[in-house]
Amino acid sequence: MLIYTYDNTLEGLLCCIFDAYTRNEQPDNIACEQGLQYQLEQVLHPVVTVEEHWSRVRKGIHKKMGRLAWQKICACYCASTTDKEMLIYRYLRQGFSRGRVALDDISHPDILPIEELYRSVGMEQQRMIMFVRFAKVATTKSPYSEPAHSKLSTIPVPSSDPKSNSGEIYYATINPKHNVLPLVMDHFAARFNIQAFIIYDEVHQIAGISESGQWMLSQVEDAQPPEVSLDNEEYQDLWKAFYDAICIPERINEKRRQQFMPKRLWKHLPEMHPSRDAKT
Amino acid sequence: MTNACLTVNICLYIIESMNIEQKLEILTGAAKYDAACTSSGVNRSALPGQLGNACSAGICHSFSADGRCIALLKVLMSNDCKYNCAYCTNRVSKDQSRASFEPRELADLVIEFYRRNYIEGLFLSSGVSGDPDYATARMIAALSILRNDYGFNGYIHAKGIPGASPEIISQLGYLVDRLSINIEMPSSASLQKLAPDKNPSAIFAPMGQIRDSIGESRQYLLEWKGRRESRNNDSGRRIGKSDDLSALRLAAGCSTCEVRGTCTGLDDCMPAQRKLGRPARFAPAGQATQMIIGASPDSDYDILRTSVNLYDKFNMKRVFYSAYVPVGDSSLIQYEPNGQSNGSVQLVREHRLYQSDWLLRFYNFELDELLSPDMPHLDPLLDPKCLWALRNLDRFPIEVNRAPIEELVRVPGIGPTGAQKIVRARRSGALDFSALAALRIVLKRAQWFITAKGKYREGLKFEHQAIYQGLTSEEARKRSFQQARKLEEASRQLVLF
Ligand code: SF4
Repeated sequence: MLIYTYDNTLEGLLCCIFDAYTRNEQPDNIACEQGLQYQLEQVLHPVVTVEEHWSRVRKGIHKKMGRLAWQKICACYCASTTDKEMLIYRYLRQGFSRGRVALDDISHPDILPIEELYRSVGMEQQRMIMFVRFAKVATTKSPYSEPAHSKLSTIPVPSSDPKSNSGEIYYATINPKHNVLPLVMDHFAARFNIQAFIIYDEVHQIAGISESGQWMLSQVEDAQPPEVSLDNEEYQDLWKAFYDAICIPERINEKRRQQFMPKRLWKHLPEMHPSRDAKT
Repeated sequence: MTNACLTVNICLYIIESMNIEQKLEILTGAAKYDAACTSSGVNRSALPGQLGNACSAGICHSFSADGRCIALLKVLMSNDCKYNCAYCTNRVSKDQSRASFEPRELADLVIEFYRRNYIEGLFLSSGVSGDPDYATARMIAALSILRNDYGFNGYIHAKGIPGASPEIISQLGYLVDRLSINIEMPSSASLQKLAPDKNPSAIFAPMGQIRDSIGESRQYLLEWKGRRESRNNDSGRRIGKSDDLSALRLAAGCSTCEVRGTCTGLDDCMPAQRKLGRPARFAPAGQATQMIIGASPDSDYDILRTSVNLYDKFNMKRVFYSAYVPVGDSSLIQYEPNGQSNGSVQLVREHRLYQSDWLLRFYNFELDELLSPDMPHLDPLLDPKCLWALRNLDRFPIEVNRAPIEELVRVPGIGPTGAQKIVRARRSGALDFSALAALRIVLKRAQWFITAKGKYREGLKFEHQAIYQGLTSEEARKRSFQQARKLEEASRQLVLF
């Protein structure tokens, strides 16, 4: 069995394609360098990430398959399924050998999985755009400079820019199924360019940090949610009050609600928080 | 001190002491029957230093226990109303608590909610407290704080109040993304009966004004763009997808950032007005209206004919249908002509109307293909497309591998997305039923109306009775309209890619 290993970046994965073509071979699996269990009968080929290689593959994708295909691959790379590398690899093989026609053949076994994964990632991306909930974080001392959260000290805290509303920071925790934070940061960074904010994905342990429309990502382990500022509770309560008041009791439809707003996401929605229910 | 004096003092005290949470509850409860809560219709990209943007596909932020999308903070400026519309919970004759927002109070609330990503923007309406001009002026006060003082760049939908003067409507239009005047009733007879203070001309006049202003402002913008282009001076700076960060992203192990967020990357995004010296736009997301269903004896045909007129005459972006929910007893209200007066019947009806509305606007159906004065009602068990297909069985079955896309979209169960998938997929080889299933085409309804590679689905009989039973038993199994409802607002709001 021929296994390609790569450095867990999209560039690395593109280099796997490059190597497969230049070495004229077909890997049986593509796996992450870290955490790979070596087994007998496995032949490993560690793929080296080289800029010249991945940029050539990327150019090739744009040329032979178009922008949309590239977008699909990027989105699917954010999926949290273990076989995404091979799915992308097989999709690209089809695309390179048969061009755009192949990609239109959406019931093909090498094409369909990517179409579906793309849908699934897209759905999750959309959900995060909908359900991220920011809380205003205490302004005076930054939670990240405290030793208790020393692990977080690697996060560059957005400095308090006097123009951007007196140095407040907005903080949100999310628990998406796929690693979609990179896919939603553009949206939030543009929309909330007047506020510094952090979105922390507790599942994939990655934080998106943004200020003045610019953003970056940082790998963070077990971030503790910072203390929220005083008026935050107040606005969460007001939001909950609005949420309850807008419902038309004659039309209650729990199934429909959960279809659009799955229960797994409720834990970070202030309007769905049970303690707040008890209060009101 | 006289007694009267005392009462006045106490009243004042009570009004002043009402806190924002109580006001919010009252003024939300008063607005909740309005069906429109979409944030769709306009793209406006973010600008440095301004809060917010708008995304044409619309974004929901929550779903209430009734399963409806919450996109906007939907409230009334005031639920104090001197009119007496029989179907309305705010009518003057109804005994209930009244409240009003202060303009700044409301503006602050919108900003705080928006910054926390609770909402896409504001949906503001008002009861007629004082007179229509006064009530509208108070809305304008709140909106201009939002737009001008706070530079709020998110979505705003406002309701115009019938009877407000053209100058006031015009002011309102330049502050909002969407402006609507509710038609309320499908016929003027019903309007006269149930809303005696409103007259059709007070509704149609501002609708015409809004249509014209939207047209003029669009025209002006085009000319302005032309002039600007000829000067070849593009000063608009977009933010949120600058390339200078790509190095950082790579360092952080992520290179996928080239994927554009859902709406910031659209090319036709409209930069906001003031900062770029762009001319202000009048209701760029267009005009909408709402009709209440089931409070008057009007038939589905009457309702849809009115909608078609509204779309044609006033370039409506959308007509919303709102199933009447009894709000206190009013002897004037009449339910269904056939005497079925329960609420869920009206909900099914509302759903069927939305489906028909969809067919008329996006599938090129004509009203007389769906209904006629002799057959004025939609079938609660069959969706309107099935109803049409059953009446036109001579056009079916069609061959999926050959039929043009216009015919494919007309097959029950296959929509524009499905039709496009089929057209794409069949280029690389003829499709059979299993290939259709692999494409995730829902065959439950479609199977009765198509052949694949010349073959009809095995085990099915192409015969009116069999098809009718097949279709309705499926519908009956669903038992409730609720599942079927998912189409409408939802599909609008959840547009993916
Ligand atoms: S004018 Fe508007 S708020 Fe007043 S009663 Fe009529 S519908 Fe209700």
